[in-house]
Amino acid sequence: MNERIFTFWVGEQIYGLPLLLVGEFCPLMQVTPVEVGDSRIPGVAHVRGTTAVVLDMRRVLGTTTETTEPIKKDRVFVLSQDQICEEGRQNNLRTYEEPIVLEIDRLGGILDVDTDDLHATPAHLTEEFYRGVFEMESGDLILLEFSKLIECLIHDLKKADR
Amino acid sequence: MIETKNEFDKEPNYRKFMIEAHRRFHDRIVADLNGILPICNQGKCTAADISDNVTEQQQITDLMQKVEQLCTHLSENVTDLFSQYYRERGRFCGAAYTTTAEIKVNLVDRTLLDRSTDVRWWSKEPILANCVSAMKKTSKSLTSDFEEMSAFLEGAIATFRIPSVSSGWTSMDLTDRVKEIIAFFPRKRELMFNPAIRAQFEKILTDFTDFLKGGDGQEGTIKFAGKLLSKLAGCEKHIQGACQQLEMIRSTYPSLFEIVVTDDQGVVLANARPDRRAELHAKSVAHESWCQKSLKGSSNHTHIERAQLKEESHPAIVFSTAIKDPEDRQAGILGSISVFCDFQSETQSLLDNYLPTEKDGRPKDGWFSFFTDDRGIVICANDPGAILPGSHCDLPRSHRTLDRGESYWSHIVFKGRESIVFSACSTGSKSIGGSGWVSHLVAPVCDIMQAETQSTKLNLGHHQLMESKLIPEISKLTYAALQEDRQAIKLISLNGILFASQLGKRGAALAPVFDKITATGDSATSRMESLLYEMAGSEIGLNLHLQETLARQAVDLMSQKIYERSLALRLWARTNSLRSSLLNTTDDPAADVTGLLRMINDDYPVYRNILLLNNRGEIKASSRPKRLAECDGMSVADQVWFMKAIRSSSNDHTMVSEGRVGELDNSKFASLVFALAVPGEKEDSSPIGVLACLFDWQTEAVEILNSCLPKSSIGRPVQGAVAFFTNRDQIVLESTNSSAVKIQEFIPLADEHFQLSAGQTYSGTFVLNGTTYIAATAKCDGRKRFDGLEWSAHILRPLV
Repeated sequence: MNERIFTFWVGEQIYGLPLLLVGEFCPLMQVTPVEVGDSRIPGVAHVRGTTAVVLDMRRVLGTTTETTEPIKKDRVFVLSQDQICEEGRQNNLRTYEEPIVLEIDRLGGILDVDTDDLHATPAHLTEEFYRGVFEMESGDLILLEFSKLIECLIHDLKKADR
Repeated sequence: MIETKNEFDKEPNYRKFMIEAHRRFHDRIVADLNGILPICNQGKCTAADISDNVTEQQQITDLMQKVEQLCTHLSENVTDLFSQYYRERGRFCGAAYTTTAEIKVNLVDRTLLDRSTDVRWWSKEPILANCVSAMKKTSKSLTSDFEEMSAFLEGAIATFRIPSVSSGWTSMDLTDRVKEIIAFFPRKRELMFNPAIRAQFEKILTDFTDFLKGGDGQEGTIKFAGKLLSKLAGCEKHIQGACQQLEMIRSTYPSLFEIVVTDDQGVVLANARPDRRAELHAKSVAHESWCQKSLKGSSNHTHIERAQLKEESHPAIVFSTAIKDPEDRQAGILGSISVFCDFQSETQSLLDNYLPTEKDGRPKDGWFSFFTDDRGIVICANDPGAILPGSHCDLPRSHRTLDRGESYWSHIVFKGRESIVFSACSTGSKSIGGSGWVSHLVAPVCDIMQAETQSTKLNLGHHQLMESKLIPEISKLTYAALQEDRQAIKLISLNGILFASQLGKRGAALAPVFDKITATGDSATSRMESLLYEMAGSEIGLNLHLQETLARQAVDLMSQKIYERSLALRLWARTNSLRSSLLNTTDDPAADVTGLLRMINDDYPVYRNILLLNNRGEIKASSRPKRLAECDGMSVADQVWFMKAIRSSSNDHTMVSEGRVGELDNSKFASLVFALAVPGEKEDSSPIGVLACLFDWQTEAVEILNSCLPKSSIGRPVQGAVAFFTNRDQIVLESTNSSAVKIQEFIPLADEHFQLSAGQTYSGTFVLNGTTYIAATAKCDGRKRFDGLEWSAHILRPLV
């Protein structure tokens, strides 16, 4: 089955997410710091008249590797569940109830992939929100399950609250 | 501070330098960007086709307009970028090659300065002053002597006309013989200067006086004739002595082709070349400006000008100064000494230096280096066949009439070739005005503005390259702006594709539009990026070239200084008074030897001390005896330099060795020891001692190193740059920043920097105390100068 994904870089690793989750690829935007006790959430940003939680994907994905190039910090505005377009809904795309901004190292591009080519996540990649891996010439592309990623994050936050 | 002007400041006409590949490159990017505009129009039309929703249509139209604006912006940027590329390249080439031109003229200035000092010193040689003084005295007295001799001869005629029984003489008329003698009297100059004429005269007069000896009362005539002949013989002796001295100087300094000593009337008394003696002696050169100026000047000033001796095929530089009585420096001028230097030969290697060469070692075609004087007359050129010395140089006035320290470069057609000419006027110093000559370096446009770059030499990554301090700020800003534009196009394209995707099937028509925009934007910006890298690489390459040139300048200046000083020593070691002093067995050195050494040292303050040592290595005399107070009775017989020197002859090269700190003069400074054997009574007899000079090279080295630091565009030394000398063991000898590069410590530069052959250069990156530098090294050119020292000069410049 064909799926259109967008790719992005965090550290030396390339990741992918369904394109239809995205509301907009944004230039650098103002992030208002908010103290939530979790470094993965540096603050909130205002996009299209709404307030969105900003996720630092370096911390979310646990990347510590340094890059040789300076980090530009691109942002991706991810739609809330009710903002997903018709085609997205038909494809059972799931996101979160609130819009979210992903802070990434840099944007890659847009790819049409065949999900039949998706390989199982290797054993050493233990994160629950990894959907699988596409083998590409430049290396493995990890496809993320966005809703699971958010679930994991909320779970961690709740755990921390307790 | 050097001020560099160039025609680009007035007219930014870079297009004439653009290479074909760049033109194609430029045209292709612009065509690609222009190609996006119809795609945008297509996008706007498609928006109307696929949606009736005004908001959706507006969103698509907005995106397309953004793309159009960005394309126009990029298109302008790409044109600016090429302009910037060539302007920056021009600026860098200008800085690099005008520095080379400046280096050359300043090296020439130093040669002139050294030679001027030498000439002043030679003028103080007593044998020359004695010759001039004696000849003047003889010339003055000979007129009355001839009159008196005439009277004696007339008396002799009268005596022999009256027969005398007592003497047994018969009446005899000597008129014809006397006439023959008197006929020589108007030929005073010939009698003084021409040994053949003098021999004829001597024979006739001696025959005559021999005849007179047979008669009575002729003692007065015979005695006076003897006195006259001895006076004339004295002339010959003085001239011979002076000529021998001049010959010795000439044999010591290979670039001198003639030395002429005149009296105060400009009459040549002595010269260095025996083959020209008959023609030159007694000849008046009073009309020559170099003679006039030296006779009007003081003995503390050397006049320098271009001159041409008829017999020589190319012009010379003449150094002339007054000769004064060494016993009475306040007295008037006795005469002059003029030294003709074959400047073309002397400067040939300097002129060829720093020019790129063909495989056969000759300078590349179209590259020229030459000097002009303040009137624009060519003094010497690397290719005298193409640029004739003595001719008016074929350059615009803006190149010929530069002020001290000023430089200029422009694009002209030279010898039928599109060239860039870099000109720099000598800087001079506070104490010495400098020659005011202008050095010109001509380079074909294709070899510098359009040459391939050497960015790979340092193996830097793109990011490191763009972060380098060597890259001008404007390039960094352009790079940042380009990155932003690239990002903006990418975002627009991604958002466009996203938008098309969200429209579902309706958006399918828009997808190819955004795909095309993405592809074209990517291609255009990547090309621009690679041009920026090429530009940065070219700038780094030129910086490396400049740094290697500066390192070569430092080592060349130092070796030239050492070479010049070692030549002077050969002359001093043969001074008679030094030899006599060593032959004298008494312990106390003659006061006049100490005085002589002091006088030399006063004229050449670059020496910390000058020592005369006997063949046992004991110090017999010193120019600065106070500095030797604590070294009294010291012997240097075990020093390598002494052992080498005492085994050499005065015709050998001077021994130059690195002395230990405070070794001989109890100072905290290291010295270079110049040592040469002092020959015995005859030139070929075994050495009777050694003349040693402690060269204060550290003071000289600091001055040289400071002049070789890379400069910023405003002429100030680049912050953090360091210049230093090392010996063959990688030990730092002198440094412009002793806290960054410590003196007397090992410097851990890569082996390649120390595996160079004489005259070679090398550059690479070097990390010292956490700072990354570009390090350029040049090894002393031992082929022409000294190979014994094996010193290297290094220039460090912070990279990031």
